[in-house]
Amino acid sequence: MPTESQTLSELLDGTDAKPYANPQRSAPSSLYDLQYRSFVIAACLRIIGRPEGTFRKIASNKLRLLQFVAMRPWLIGMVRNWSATRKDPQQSLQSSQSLRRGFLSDGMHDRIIDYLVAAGHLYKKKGQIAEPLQDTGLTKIYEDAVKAGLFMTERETIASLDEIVITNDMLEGW
Amino acid sequence: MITLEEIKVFGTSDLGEFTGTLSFKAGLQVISADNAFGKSLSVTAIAWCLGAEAVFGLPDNDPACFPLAVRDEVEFEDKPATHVTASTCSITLKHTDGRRLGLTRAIKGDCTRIIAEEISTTGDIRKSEFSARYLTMVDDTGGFQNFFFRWIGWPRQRTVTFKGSEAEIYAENLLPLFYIDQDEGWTDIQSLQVTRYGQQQVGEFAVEYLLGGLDATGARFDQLRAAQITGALKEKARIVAERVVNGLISNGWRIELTANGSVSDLITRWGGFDLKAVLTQQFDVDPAKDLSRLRERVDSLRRTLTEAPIDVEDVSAPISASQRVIELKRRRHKLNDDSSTSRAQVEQTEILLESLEARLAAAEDLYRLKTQGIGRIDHIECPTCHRDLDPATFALSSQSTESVENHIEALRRDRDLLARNLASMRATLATIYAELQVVSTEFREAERALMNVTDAVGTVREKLAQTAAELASAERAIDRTLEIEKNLGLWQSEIDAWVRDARAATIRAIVPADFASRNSAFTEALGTYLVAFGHSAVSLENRYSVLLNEQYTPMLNQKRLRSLGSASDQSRLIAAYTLALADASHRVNGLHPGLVVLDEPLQQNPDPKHRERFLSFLSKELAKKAPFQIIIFTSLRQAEISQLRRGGVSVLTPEGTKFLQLTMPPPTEGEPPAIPSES
Amino acid sequence: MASNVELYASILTSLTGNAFQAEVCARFQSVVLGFQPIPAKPHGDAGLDGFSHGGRRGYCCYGPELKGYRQNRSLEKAIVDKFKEDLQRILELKFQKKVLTRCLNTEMSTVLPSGQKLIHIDLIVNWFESHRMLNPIHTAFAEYKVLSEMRYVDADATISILGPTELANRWSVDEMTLVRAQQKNFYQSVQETAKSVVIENPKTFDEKMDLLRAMRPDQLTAISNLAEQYLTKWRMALAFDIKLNETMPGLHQALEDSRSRIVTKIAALMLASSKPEAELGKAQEIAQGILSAEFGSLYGSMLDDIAAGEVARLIGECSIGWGRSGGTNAN
Repeated sequence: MPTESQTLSELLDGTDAKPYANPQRSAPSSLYDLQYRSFVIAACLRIIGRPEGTFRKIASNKLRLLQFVAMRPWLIGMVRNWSATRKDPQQSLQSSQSLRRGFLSDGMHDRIIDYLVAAGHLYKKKGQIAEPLQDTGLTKIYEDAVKAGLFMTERETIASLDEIVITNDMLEGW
Repeated sequence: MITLEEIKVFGTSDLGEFTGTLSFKAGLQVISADNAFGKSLSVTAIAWCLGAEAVFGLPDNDPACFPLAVRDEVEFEDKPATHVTASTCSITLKHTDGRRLGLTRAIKGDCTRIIAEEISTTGDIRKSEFSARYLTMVDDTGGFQNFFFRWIGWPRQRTVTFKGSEAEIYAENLLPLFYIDQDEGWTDIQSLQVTRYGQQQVGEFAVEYLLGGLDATGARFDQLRAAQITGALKEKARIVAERVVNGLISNGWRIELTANGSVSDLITRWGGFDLKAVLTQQFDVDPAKDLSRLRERVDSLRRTLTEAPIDVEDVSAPISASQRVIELKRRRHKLNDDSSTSRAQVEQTEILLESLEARLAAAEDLYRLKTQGIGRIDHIECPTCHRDLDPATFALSSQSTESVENHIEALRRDRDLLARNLASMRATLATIYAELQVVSTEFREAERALMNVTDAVGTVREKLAQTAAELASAERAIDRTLEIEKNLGLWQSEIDAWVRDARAATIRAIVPADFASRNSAFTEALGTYLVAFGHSAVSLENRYSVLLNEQYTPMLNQKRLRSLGSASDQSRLIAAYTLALADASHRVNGLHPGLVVLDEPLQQNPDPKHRERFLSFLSKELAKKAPFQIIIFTSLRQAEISQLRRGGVSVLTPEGTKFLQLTMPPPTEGEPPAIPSES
Repeated sequence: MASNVELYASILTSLTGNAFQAEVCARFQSVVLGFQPIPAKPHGDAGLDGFSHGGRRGYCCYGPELKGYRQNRSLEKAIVDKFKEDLQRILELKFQKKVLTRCLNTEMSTVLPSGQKLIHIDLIVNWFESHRMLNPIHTAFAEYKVLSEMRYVDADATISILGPTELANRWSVDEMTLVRAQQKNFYQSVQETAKSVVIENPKTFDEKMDLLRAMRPDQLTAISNLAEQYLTKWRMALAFDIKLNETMPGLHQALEDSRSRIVTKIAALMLASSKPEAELGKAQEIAQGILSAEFGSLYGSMLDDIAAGEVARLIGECSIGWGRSGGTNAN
């Protein structure tokens, strides 16, 4: 049975069609853009991070989940469900399996954190990610984007996540 | 047309009566007084007495445009501030035909009324009172603007609002083209134009009107009306199409009926549309035939029930009743499965679409972030060794704007695919539900029939029960078919009604207006005045390149003139535009009132060069010999006043440091109050 | 007023390529009992376009684009060369290094009835206004018979060259014949017109499919089926993408990289090839090869579907596509 490509090739054969393949058109998703990911992390820190001394901090495992869902707002229902079933180990496992697989295997997040730490914009402190309260490189990204009214969905999602109970047990206790 | 002869403000305060008067002549007049004199108070009185406070963005009858000096506390020369008990202003206009009109309106008091005193050429006086704002145009006897338009000789002009209703051109729509106030008038051409009434293209209407282009304004009105009618018809067509399509889907029929295309396309497509014929052709549905067949069946069943002999050996009744139930159950089960699969598909696709929309929004925002050049971490270095940190070291990258743009395009295509899928799936689900409903009803009927047959004792009774059930079912089928036929008729009549309305809609052929000569006069005058005012972008050589675009915005070499030249050219542009319009209108016998009021043109830019150029303009013949009245309120130095007077310019320098002056002390206790003077 | 025969002859002259062949075969089918047309695909027609009389008479058609030849001499040469080639195949001969050598025609045994040999071959062409074609073709045929093993051609076999007039004159031309021929003429002119169809630069999937329909009006059903399949697979690819994005973001990034590599590879192959559409035919194979590295172990049996989905998506999103040659930037 010929494949669709083979059928297409036969149909184009003998015509004056000029087939093309344009690699530039096949552009990667914005999920893998450094600026975008930096913004999302900055937003998580500002909306959910708690000030502590001269830093704002957030648990690194929580940040991992928050940034993942912020970029995938349609998953927020899954997070709510997971939170609602968190006290029932079986249900909790069932409702969170694919979500956990997702955010835990987000290698790009780790690389971004490493990069921002290497640049001195973030610090890793005992299971926490900390950003100095004074202006960092992330401040500009965040403020410029908010001023321009960009990434409303991501910000609203993060704010909604703040209203959901997410425990350490959920993030690590399995 | 008209000349402003006098502005007067008067009232009573705790210190007594006060008044302030300025008198004007025809032609160019410069009123020079120090700041805080009260010049702007008198300028505001013009708009107020014309019932046009809307130009200041105020609600009806709100005197907040006036300084507190006439509303609350007034400071007279060498006197402490004192409470104002009442205040009024009036203006006197003189028509070119010799008639005069005095308009008086309270500032602090009952400001809902304007008192008009008409003085005819023979000296006859007629006093009338009008409502300043309420039904100001439509009230033929009591509306002020209705009266004023008649007095000045302005025809009424209809406009169209964004909501589709008709409105008119009011005085406050025309005033911004010859009345430039100090606060906002200099920010842009027609900056005081009233937009809150929602009149479409009101700026263009105003310019064409004042140039006397009533053909042009009429054509503009017709065009807007036609567009509105078209819009309304298209919207109605969309609603009808949606109703018909959804109604048919609920019966399990999917047809193509859209409101795409122009109104004339729709008339062509819908004109010959026969819903019943389409259903017959596509679904082999013919309610009339079905009805006829069902009625025959009903008659036959009735006969069977009442007359026909029953075969006592025939034991098929319970078997066929039971078989029918089984078959319907099977069909219903399958439809349930189908609907459940279809529903799951719809839900999945909805989630997919939602996720795509989210990704698209993120990509679009990222694109804006990159194209605006904001939020970029320009330079990153290691804080300890200060070497540049390359994101590539961390297998990270920042995408180019082109890449993000390509991604957005791809996502849009993906979204369109899913949106189409979703629409199709929803329609499929709707048809499954429709069929399920029918099958469920038939199933219930069949169950009831089976029950009756099973309960019956003996083959005769079984047969009778079965026949009765079949009869009931056929009668219900007739009801359903009648309902379908009725609906089809209703939908067809909706489509036919739309076609009738669309055909009947009087979209008048729009007569192209011969406005070219008036437009040319305006454009030419504008070039002349811009050069006279010393606009830095316009010279004698290029003044003929100054053009007006479709919105009557001045352009030079395809750029807005507003964006060319220096900051101080802005006020020169506005002054030139205002005077050019008056000039051109005069030349083409337009409807401009022949009066231009410029309040504090020099305050817009206090640099010496700007003052010099402005004063130079005033000394030119163009200004001095203008065939219309120009009143300029400003604050000049003594040397400048002398210079202008030497040049033949009329400069009025009112006495005293304050416009409002006490005229009569308050009555002492026991004395009756003196009658306030109005001269 | 022209007679039916003259009209038919002129219509035949205006037909070319497949349309000419189709009309000739239809004509023979209507007038020769037992005429059997031979389809060219999928294995080739063995040099014959039809046979009759139980395999004793064979027919070869050739309808060149007459406008493509400025001089009669070139047209004659083209016709002579084409028919020589057909006769070589029928007689199982082939030029190898300019020497005519025997070359088995494996398809012929599947075409002609077993044991039958051709005793006459008609060579039908849409232009026969020069007798100069006769000598080279007849001479060549005689020469070929000497060299050939003559498995499918009788030693006394003959050939005839027929043009439109000859064909038209052979049997009476009725109205049905004229109508049928005129339809083919119209169909061909639609194809000609379709070459100047507005869709020069199809930007969307639908436009691409419309262009394909315009270019191949004889394959509308196949194109609709193809479009349907692509749309379905495109949708599947989107669902797969989103699921992967949610559950295995690392693999999702690999998928995006793979997608880019697929297009790049296809683009490179197309550039290097004189028949880029043939490279397009390998798209799924290429996709499978690239995806197997990251997805092979996890998705194994599903890899076919994933590859098909990715290709469909690339076509849907217009990273891969087609346009009119000479059109402005089909890309």
